[in-house]
Amino acid sequence: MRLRGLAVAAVVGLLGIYFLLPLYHLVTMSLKTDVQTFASPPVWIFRPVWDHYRRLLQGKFPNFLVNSLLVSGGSVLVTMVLGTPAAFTLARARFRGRRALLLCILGTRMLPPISLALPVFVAYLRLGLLDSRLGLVLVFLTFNLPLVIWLLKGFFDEVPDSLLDAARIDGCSILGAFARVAVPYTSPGILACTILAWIYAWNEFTFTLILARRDAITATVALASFFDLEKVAWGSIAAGSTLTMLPVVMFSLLGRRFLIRGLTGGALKE
Amino acid sequence: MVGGEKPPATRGAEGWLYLLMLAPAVMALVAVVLVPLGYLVYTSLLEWKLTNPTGQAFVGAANYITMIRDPDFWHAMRVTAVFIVGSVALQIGLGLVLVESLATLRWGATLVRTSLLLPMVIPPLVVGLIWRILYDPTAGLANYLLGFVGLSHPWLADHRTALGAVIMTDVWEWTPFVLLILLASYAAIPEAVHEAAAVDGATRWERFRFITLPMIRPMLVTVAVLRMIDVIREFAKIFVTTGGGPGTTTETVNMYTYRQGFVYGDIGYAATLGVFMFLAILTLTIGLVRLERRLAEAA
Repeated sequence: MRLRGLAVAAVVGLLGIYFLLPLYHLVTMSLKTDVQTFASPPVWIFRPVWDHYRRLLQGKFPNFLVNSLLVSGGSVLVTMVLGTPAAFTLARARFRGRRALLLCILGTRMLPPISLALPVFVAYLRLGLLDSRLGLVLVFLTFNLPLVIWLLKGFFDEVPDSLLDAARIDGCSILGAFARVAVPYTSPGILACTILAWIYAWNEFTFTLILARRDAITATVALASFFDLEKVAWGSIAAGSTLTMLPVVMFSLLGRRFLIRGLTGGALKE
Repeated sequence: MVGGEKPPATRGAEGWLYLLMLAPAVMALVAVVLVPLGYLVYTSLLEWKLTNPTGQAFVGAANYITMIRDPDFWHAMRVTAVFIVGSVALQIGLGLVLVESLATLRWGATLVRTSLLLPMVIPPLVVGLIWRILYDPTAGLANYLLGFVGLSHPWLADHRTALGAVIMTDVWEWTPFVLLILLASYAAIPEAVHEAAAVDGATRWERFRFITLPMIRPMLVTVAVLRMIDVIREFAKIFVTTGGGPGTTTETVNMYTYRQGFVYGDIGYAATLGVFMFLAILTLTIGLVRLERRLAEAA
């Protein structure tokens, strides 16, 4: 039995190293001097220097972070405003084709971005929406709206009928029951969906690479372009990556319990 | 919907209000998904190169015939197939090996689950960057650690190891996903079943083979299909680690489509590849939905 316990501890320890060491390496690299970064054997104990961050923040990187913030924020706002009432309807209304519509919406989530990016690129070329934050906000609906509708429908399914019926008897319309009863009742779920949708928007890469050129570029696409320089600036890459993943990591730790449900939700039944 | 009689269809004023709440989202999806898909199919029937100033010409199925005869396309198909098999097999294999140890974990379970969450929530591009740094022969930790066993190597630059090295980035990012789902379905197996088997004198292997595996198998298939869909759509990690290279050794169909459309500017042919990818994923998604329905009926 003790042997068993030791084996489990060893497995967990190795797993911890495998999943966390790469992240640790990235963060420490952003705080090392170039000499320390390339030292062999690696330097494990050092005094952090903030030069990479200072240089990064004096350059254009803050603009890209602001773009990420505006595009992800705007896209999540539109997604939630459109998706919340739609999810309520799909959970509560009874009409023919409801199930088919739900499956179509779920299927939309699975589409390869490249198949959509190509026609959208051509359309934006004509509409003058290339390299615009508005264009990105709109196209991000393709992956976030289906996700939010699908997850929120699950939450609205759990609102007890008796609560909604009571609101109706008190003279609320279905809109009133939605706004005054269903939304407050599911607010933890709505908040968690907002975080998840925001993470997907913040992390987005393919659409942005194709549809943004210069002004609308977000942090993820800016990071990829760091390798185009003649001399690879490892310290800046590490610092930029750390800054870009920091908000996501913080929100994930806050919403940990739900995120496990949300991220694995597609497989774990509606 | 669990049993019971069907509620009556929604009608009248209430029906109109419901429509009002649903229509904007559906219209938005039609505008950003359905219309572009229709245009994609139309574009795939055109000869349309951005480098060619004479513009577009309707050529029917010519692009599709080009695709079937294109050796680069078939090469990309093989790369995608290897990526799918390697990535999904490793993730599910690791998941199965680890699920029991993690499920019986008494202390530190929260910590383990939290650290499992991190690789899958950080930007995929950053995952790619982390591994590009780790693999780097001069700055890389992977090479230093592997150096102890004489395996230091430019993993991403060697055409024999590049695809495997990129697959490993996917394994790092998504094994946690497989593990978390397996943990959930493992937890759903009633304790009494394990106890009964132990009383009957079943060995650990027998319990795994005849109890755990059959009970989590439906979930395994679902996870495998979901991971397949994601691998087909994979872009950021390949883009930033190898860009499809060296040569075209890590160029999946997705990367090839990108190259045709946005590097060569062959919009017509890229659209054809885009239609192919769309159909492949649609087939897998329909299969997944059918499978889930069958499992729900069996349960």
